[in-house]
Amino acid sequence: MELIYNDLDDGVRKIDITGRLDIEGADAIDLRFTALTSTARTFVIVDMAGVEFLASIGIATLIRSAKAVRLRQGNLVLLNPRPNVAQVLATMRINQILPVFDTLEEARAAVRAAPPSPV
Amino acid sequence: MPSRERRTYTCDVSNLRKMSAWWREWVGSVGGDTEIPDRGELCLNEAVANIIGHGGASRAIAITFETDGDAVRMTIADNGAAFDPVTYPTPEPPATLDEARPGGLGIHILRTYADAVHYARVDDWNELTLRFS
Repeated sequence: MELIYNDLDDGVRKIDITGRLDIEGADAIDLRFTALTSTARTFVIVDMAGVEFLASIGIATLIRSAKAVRLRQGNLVLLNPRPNVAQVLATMRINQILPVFDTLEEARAAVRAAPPSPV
Repeated sequence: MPSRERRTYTCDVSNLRKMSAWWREWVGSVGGDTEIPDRGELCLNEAVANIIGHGGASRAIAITFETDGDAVRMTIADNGAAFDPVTYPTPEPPATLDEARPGGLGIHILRTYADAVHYARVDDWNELTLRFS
């Protein structure tokens, strides 16, 4: 698993995840991902393009951080998942609570907008 | 062509990716629906993760892949504490982030992604059979 982050000039933090988000993968990134989403920068885009496989434990990792971000009046959105990963997000209706976007421009605009659902 | 393969693993997280790779190799060799490899891999992961996480004193996991006409069948057996994921109550996926609780989606994924799910307790083994067609 690999985590890379970039702080964009509009105050948005973009985190790229690469690898398999199964038990091993989620374990490998959990601490660092939590730390990267727990800073003052509360607008987070998670780039999923490098995620080959998403299991429920990986969904839990995303939800845990999204909830923490939301508590600090921030927002976390997902960017550009592969078709198999997008299908899991849609089938489990996770895309309704963690919005998914195809382009960075859309994600940047949305992540700073009002949260899609009340806390 | 009919095919049946069986392997036994220790109950260890590090075996999950080996199981996934074996599934991909086997299901690729028998052909079939293009979605079955993805659906099966996800279900295999969730079922085994469940055994590892909640299976009590599980010692071994025996996995069988077999063709069943145009469908394929995956049987995941473990000798841990009895656990029936078919009837285990699970919440629906959350409607809001506030309602969302990390975890708890694994069994929901199994029931959604497999075309049929069957559980039996046989000689102190849990036997979970998933069918994909």
